[in-house]
Amino acid sequence: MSDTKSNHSFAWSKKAAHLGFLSSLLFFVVVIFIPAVYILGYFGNFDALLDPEIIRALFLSLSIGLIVTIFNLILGVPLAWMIVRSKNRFLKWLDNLIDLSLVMPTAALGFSVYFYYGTNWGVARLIGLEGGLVSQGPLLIILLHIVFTLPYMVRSVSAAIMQLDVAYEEAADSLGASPFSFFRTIALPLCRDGVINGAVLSFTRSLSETGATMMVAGVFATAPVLIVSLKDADNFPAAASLSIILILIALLILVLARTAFGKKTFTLPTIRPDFEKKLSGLFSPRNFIVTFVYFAMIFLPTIFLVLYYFMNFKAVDISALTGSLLISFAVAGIVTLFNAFLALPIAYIIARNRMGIGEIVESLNEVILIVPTSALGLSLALFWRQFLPWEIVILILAHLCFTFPLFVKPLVAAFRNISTDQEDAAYSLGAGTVRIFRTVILPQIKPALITGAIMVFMRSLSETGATLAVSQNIKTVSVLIVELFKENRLDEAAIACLILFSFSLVFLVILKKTQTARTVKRV
Amino acid sequence: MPEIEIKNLGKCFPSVDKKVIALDDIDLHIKQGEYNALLGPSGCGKTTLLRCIAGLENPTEGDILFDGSSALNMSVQQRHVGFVFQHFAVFPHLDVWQNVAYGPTVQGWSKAAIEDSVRSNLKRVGLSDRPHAMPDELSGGMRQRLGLARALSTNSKILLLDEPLSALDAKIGEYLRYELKRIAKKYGITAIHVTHNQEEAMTIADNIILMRQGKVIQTGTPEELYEKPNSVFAANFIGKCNFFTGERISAHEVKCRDKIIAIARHTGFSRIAIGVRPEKIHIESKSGKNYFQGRLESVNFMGHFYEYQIRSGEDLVWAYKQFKEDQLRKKFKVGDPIYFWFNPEDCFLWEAPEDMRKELSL
Ligand SMILES: Nc1ncnc2c1ncn2[C@@H]1O[C@H](COP(=O)(O)OP(=O)(O)OP(=O)(O)O)[C@@H](O)[C@H]1O
Ligand SMILES: [Mg+2]
Repeated sequence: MSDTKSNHSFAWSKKAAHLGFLSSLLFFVVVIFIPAVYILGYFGNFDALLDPEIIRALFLSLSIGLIVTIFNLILGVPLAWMIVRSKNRFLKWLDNLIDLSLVMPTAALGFSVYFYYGTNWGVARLIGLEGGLVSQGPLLIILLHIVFTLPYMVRSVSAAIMQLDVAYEEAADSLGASPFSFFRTIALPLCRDGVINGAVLSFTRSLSETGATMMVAGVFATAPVLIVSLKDADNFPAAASLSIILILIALLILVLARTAFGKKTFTLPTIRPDFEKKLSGLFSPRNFIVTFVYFAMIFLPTIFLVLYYFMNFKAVDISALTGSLLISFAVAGIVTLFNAFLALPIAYIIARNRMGIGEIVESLNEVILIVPTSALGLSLALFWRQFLPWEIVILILAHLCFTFPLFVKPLVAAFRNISTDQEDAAYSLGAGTVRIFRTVILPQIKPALITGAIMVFMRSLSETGATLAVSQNIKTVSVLIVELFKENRLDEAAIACLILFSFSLVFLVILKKTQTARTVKRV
Repeated sequence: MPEIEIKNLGKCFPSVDKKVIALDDIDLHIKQGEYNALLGPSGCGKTTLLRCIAGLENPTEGDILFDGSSALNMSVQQRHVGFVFQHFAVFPHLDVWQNVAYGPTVQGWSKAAIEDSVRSNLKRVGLSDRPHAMPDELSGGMRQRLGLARALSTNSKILLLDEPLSALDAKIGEYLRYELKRIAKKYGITAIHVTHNQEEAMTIADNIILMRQGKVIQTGTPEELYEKPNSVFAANFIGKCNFFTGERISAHEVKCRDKIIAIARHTGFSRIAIGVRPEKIHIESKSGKNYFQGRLESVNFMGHFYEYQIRSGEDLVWAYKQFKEDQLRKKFKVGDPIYFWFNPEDCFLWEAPEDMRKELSL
């Protein structure tokens, strides 16, 4: 029968697919995951932990992370609500700005934030102060971290609010609930997973940021900054111990968040209607306050470097930059390309729970995402230096590792949106695996691929912590910006920031375009 | 006690290309304790009207009076109106008990009063045995009843229901229909029940409000709407109706398809639309004076009656015959020529609309 042949090739293509999945899994574990947590093998030597410098850095990092997270909750939740639910066009349009500080390289952000708060160019001038408003130190670190972590909170919470049926609010209103009562008894419990997720991302990103933090920290050192300086001082045991602690803290947070997820039941608290009605009065100027704070504390600090540049316009010799720019773009390009190939099968394994290990792989992916990058960098350096002498290769491998989860996440979501029926239907029509991928799946995941590619490219361009930990001679542009800044070569730093800024702007526009193209009609 | 007056109410939605007029000059008087059905084709503004009354939408024109005083400046909370949502909108993170307790709780009732209200309302809708079930463990019908219990929990005297039965299967829907009316009557609730199902409206309502394209076409008891429809649209939407057009010959004669037929009432219109209910159509096997000719296209068994479909020219004419008139059926075979006629007293007469077809399409 003619069927046998097609059956045969069908079985073959299934086998090939299986082999493909296995090898990508192997690659994921050996090249991405193990190197990322390799440092945990150094577990045991904790003399360094009694070092007051380390304790101080840890305490500083944790407090900053906590304050940043709390602030993000207070600003991010109403901001997300306003963006999703407001009928005002302008307020809705703010949505387009939120991602700006997310795709903006942190080194450029550090520069921008420093000039906004810390010098007499920025807010200080607006309110008529001599000198800067905030000097380098913990407060400035907090202000900086708020700028680049807020988008995580807003995105994650607004996704939850979009899922929230408007009728719940109307039902609560018709039953006599004041806005505050509704918020705490219906909206918050139903958006809880989104809020927790936003808080976890805010906290872990704050805990991990290195490059920009170095620029605004002054004499203070957060944990990741200290890891870099310990490593530069060749104090490996201390750097390793601190890294392990950071990784463990991140893991602990992830586990706590996971256990808090998905609990569905909720018990109505006692409600004092009059008091809550008074509190609801605070809600009415909410949109105004939130918008004002957003512009004053997030938007302006983000774009301030452009203003700074035009206020100080000078012809600058950029020859020192070109080499770094080339390296950065080359690394980012290679990493994006490799990740695209590797992330596809892994995302598929996660989304379709292939071989029954979807959840495990997803957790591993999640772990890499929240591990502080300077700890991760140190781990990668320790691992790869045993096998590879070439710094540039290690650099690429490091970037491959910490950007990988960023590619996987949108792809997983996209795969989950494709019903398995479509694949089954194509199989039943006799299409082979490759063909199905090309004709059925690829067109549907294209937006996710573009999103993933942009996130990876920008993250690779902007990352500093892990890069500093693995490289000795090679300087990516972000590292260079930090250095120029420290050497007070501000004009060159400003140009480099501006170049990165323009790129993030272009990418942001592309990102928005693909997202709107994908937006499904909402009922 | 609750009596709702609606005075030239209008509502426009701004839209990309042009304004959508959802409500156009609505005047209504809803009497206390009355069960009203708000009926009309999809998109005619039923939901919008209900939402305006509840305060979930602000009208662009006109006024809404609760017991004589304007409600426009009252918030949703202050209007104290029970609302049953089309898709239930029961709170998914609260169990059955807490869903019903929600209203009394946020209004700060005492513990005993809350418990009393929840207990009695769960009993009313027959959910007493599952107080701790989560909404996603309930069937659609149960969720609907939960939505109803929740709307009743705060003792609102006004109950607004937006297609409360449309998501249910036919049998449960029919059962709940009577339940709804029984509860409303027992507790003296003024109810407005949106539906696009005319049968549901006829069986449940004291008063039907028929809407079309943002306007109220006719209001009245089900009988009034069925027996005295004020327009081709009303006759067509409520019950089934056959339509013919003709020209006026004299005060009591109309020329219709080359036949001069008598009419019972005088009319001044030059072009006349005639409506006849299917049960008022008489069928014969032989021709007679002023009989119309047609061909029998099909006979359908409908339970207690037969539905005869007669092809007459371009039109399809329906005639309903009682089951016991069975002997008739033996007289006619599908495909045979068939003759039909109607009494002048059984005709509805209106001025013929310019475009009959458009009038009949909903
Ligand atoms: N929020 C809105 N924005 C713009 N147009 C709206 C909005 N809500 C309703 N409309 C328009 O107003 C008109 C009336 O809508 P409404 O929902 O009241 O109809 P309906 O009678 O309830 O219909 P259905 O039986 O389909 O529920 C429709 O043309 C609809 O498109
Ligand atoms: Mg409706």
